[in-house]
Amino acid sequence: MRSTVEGLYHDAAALRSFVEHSKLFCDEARHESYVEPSLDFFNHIRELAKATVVFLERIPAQQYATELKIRTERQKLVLIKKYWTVVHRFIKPAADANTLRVPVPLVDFLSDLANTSSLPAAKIVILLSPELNYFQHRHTGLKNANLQLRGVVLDAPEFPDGLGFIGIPYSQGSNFFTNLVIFHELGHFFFEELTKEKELTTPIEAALNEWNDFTTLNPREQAWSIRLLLGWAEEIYCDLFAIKLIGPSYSLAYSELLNLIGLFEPSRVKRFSESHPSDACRFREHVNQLEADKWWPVVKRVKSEHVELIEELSDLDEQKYEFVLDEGTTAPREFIDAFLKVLPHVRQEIATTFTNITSAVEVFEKYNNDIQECLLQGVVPSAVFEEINLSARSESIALINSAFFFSLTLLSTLISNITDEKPENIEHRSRWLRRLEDWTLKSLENVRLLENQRNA
Amino acid sequence: MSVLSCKEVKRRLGLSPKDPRSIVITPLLGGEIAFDVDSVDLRLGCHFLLPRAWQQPFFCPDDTSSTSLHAGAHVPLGKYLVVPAHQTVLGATLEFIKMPFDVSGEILTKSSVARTFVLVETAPWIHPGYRGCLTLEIANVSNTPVLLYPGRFIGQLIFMEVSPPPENQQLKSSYLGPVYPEPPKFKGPEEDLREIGVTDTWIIPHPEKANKKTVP
Repeated sequence: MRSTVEGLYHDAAALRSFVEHSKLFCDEARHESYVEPSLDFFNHIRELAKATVVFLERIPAQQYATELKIRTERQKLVLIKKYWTVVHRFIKPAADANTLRVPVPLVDFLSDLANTSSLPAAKIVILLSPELNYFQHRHTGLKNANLQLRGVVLDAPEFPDGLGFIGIPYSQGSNFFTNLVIFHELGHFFFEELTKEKELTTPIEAALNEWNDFTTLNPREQAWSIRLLLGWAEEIYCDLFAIKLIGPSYSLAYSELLNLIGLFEPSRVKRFSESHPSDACRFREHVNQLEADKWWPVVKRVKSEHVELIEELSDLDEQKYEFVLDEGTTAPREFIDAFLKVLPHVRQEIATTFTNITSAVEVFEKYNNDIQECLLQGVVPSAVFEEINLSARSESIALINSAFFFSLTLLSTLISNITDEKPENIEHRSRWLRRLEDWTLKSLENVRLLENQRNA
Repeated sequence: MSVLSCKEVKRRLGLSPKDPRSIVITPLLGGEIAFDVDSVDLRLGCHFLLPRAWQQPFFCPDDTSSTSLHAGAHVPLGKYLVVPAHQTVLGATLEFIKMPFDVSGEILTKSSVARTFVLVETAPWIHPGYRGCLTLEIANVSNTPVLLYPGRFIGQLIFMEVSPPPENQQLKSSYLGPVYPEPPKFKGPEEDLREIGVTDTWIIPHPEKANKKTVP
C-alpha cells in the first residue's frame, strides 16, 4: 500500500484525538481523591499526552521528499500507538478507583508494608476491574514499551519507578476481608521486580530433566513445560509472600474468594490447571509457611469451617494431585512430580526476599483478646494501642488477623448482644459484617495516624 | 446531672472497654491539647456527605433518603473541602467515641470555629452507650466560602452523668458503630403516621415511579 503525506496527517490527527480523549479521564480525576501512586500515574499520562501532542503537531513542519520518509514517520506513530494502547487499558480503571471506592487504609497499609519490609520501593496503583477476580499487570513490558517510545518522542516522561498495577473487582471495592488478596498480587509485582523467574528457571529445568521423557519433547514443548512450572511456582511464591506480610488472614481471604467465585468444588481442589497449581497444594504450602512463622497453632485454635477446610486440603495426599489441560485432557503426572521438587526453591526465594522481617504473631497473641473484646463492644479496636508504642506494622497485622478470626467465630455473639438484631437474619448479619470491616479499616487508619504522630 | 471533669474523663479512658462506665476516644491525637477542664476537643474526619443537586421540585424524607439526598466525598488529611456560603455539609469526627452507659454527651462548636461563622450541630445530643464517629452537620452561615481541613479541631465534647443511670445497658442498633457520616434513616410518611392512627396519608409518587406522559 502506498504511503502518502495525506495518510500520515490523517494518522497523526487520529492519534492526537485518541491521546486527548484518554487524557481527559486523568483531567476529570482532578475532582476526586486518589491514593498517591494513582496521582503519580495520572501525572505520567498528562506529561506523556503533552509530549505526544507536541510531537504530532511538529509533523507537518517537516519535509517528506520520499515515500520512505513518510513510511518511517508512520512507523514512529505505530510505536507511539503501541505504548498508548497499553496505558489505555489502565487509565479508566485507575480513574474509577477513587478513594471513595477503595479501602484506603488497607491500600495505605499495603504501600507502607511494601516500603518497610526490606523490599525495593513500590507504588501500587489500584484499578477497579469488571472481572470478579484480582490481578497484577506485568509492568516490565510497560517499562520496555516506554523505553521504545522515548526513542521516538524524546520529551516523553520515563515510566515512574516502582509503579505497579493491581486490579480488584469493582463490587469488592470497599470491602476489607476479601481484599486482603491484594497482598498476593503485590507478590506478583515483586516476583517480577526481583527477577525471581531467573532464579527459579534453573531448578525448574533440573527438575524437568529428571523426567526421562522430557528430553524427547521438542524445544517448543520443553519451553512450554518450563513456563508452566514457572507459572505455578510464581503463584506459590505470591501466596507465601502474602502470608509472610500479613499472616493467616491471607489464607482465610483466599478461601473466601474461592467461595465467592464458586471454585470450591471437591473435584477442582486437587487439580492443577495450566495457570495455577491445585488449591490443595497451595494450602499445603500455606500451612508450611504458617508453621514456620509460628502462626499455625494460633490458626488451629480457631473453630471455623475455613480453618477445617484449609487443614483438610493441606492434608490431601500429593499422589491425588492431577494436572488437567485447559482442553480437558489429563496431562502426564511427571509435571506435578517435577513441580514438587521445585517447591523448596520457592520457599528459599521467599526467605531471600524477606531477610529482615519478624512475624507479628507475638503481638497478636498478646493483644488478640483485647482486640476481640473491643469488637464485641462495638468499639474500633485501635483503642487497644492508644498507649502502646509498637510499630504500626505489627499492630495492624494483629488487628487484621484478630478481626478476621472474630468474623468467623464471634460475629454471631456480637449480633446477639444488640437489641432486636438476630444472627440468623441474613440482612442483620450482612450489616454487622460490614460494620466489622469498617471498624477494622478505621483501626488501621488510626494506628497509622498514631504512629505518624509519634514520628513527627 | 453533673458535667464530668477532665480528670474523670481520663480515669474512664483508662478503664477496659468492657466496663460499662468506660469512655473510648480513638485516635486521641495531640495528647493533652485535646483536653480542657470539662471537655475534650474533637477533630474533623476525612469523609463528607454533600447535598446532591436535586432533580425534583421537593424532597420528602422517606425510605429512599439514605441514598438519594447526599453525595459522598473523601478529603485526605492535608487537603481541604470548600463549603460554599450558606451551605451545610455532613462530616464526622476523626475520633471514634464510646459513651458510657451512665453518661450522655453533647457536642458543641469550638468557640474559635463558631467565630468564623461555621456552626457544628443542630442535633448535638449523644445518648448513653452510643459508639461511633459522631456525624456533624456543618453549616457555613457566613457570606463567603470556607475551607474545612480534616484533622483540625472542630467541636468539643462534654460528658454529663445521667442520674440515676439507665438500667438497660444493651447495645442498640440504630446509629451504632458508624465510622463515616451517616445519612438519615426514615420510614415512609405513611408508615410513620399509621403508628398514631392516621390511615389516609397523601403520598406524592417519586418521579421515576410516576407514569411518563408523552407529549403528542
